[in-house]
Amino acid sequence: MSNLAYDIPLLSIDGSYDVMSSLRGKVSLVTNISSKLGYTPQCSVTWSYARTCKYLWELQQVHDMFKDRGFSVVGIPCNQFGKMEPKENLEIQEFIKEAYPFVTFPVTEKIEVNGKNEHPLYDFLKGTQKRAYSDTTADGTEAAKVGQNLAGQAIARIPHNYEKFLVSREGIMVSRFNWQDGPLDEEPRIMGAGWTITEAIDELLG
Amino acid sequence: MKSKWKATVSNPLGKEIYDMIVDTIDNVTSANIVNEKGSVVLSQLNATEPLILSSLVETPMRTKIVLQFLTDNYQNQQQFNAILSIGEFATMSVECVKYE
Repeated sequence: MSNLAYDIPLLSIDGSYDVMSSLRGKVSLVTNISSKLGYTPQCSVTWSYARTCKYLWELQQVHDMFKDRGFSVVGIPCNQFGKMEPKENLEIQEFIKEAYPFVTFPVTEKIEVNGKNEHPLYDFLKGTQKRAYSDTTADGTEAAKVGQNLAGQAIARIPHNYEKFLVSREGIMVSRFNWQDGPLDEEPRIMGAGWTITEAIDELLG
Repeated sequence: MKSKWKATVSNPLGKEIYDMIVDTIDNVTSANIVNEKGSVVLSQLNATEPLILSSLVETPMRTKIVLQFLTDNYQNQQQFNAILSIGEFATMSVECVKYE
């Protein structure tokens, strides 16, 4: 396993370049995204679209806020949570362009972030520490929602769309934020990472 | 004056039909928009802007919802268009057809 996130190849959504190596020397916020959040028969498509817009728009705000200081958001499409990203790369790219035209941060090829086909980047981001309890047994529980397994340990498994990892200029994973941590939150979430996303980025950029 | 409309909200994920009751009393307008998956009550923000219905509703997003009617005399129309915006991030088109 690589010691640095930027050494792990991950292509852009159109396959034209390696997004991770292009970020060498920058701070990045890496997050698994879905362009159809909450798009299930039970959910209102009005609210589903509004929620997805909100999540992507807030990521874009953070990207714009810090990009001139050497920062980038990286969006990674993933279909492992409620099958909310079922299409192929180029279709996703077209859909994002049409439905969320404000998005300018880099979006990568679709990958898996959990399980046997987990991309090496997520193997790196999650770390390798062993845990007493299986993370999967926490699925659907209150513990999982706050990013913990049933033993109260930080969950390794990605629990949902929009889990976020902050990576330093050197390619080291510095902080992990649960999907409930909003990019523009002004207060750290209780039981969260202890700082807000913008505080963490600002600190890391120096 | 109360009128009933079918409001079809369209966005890139799909379409959704809502029942909309628009009530105007003494120049104050409110709209109650309902379907089987949820509802939203919009009330007039400012009497000088009678065609903009706005509300800060207690949704998980706690954000401002605005329904802007794209016609001045909708009560006399059988059909009109509107724009639904949610916060600064989502804009959807709405087609309203009067049925009562």
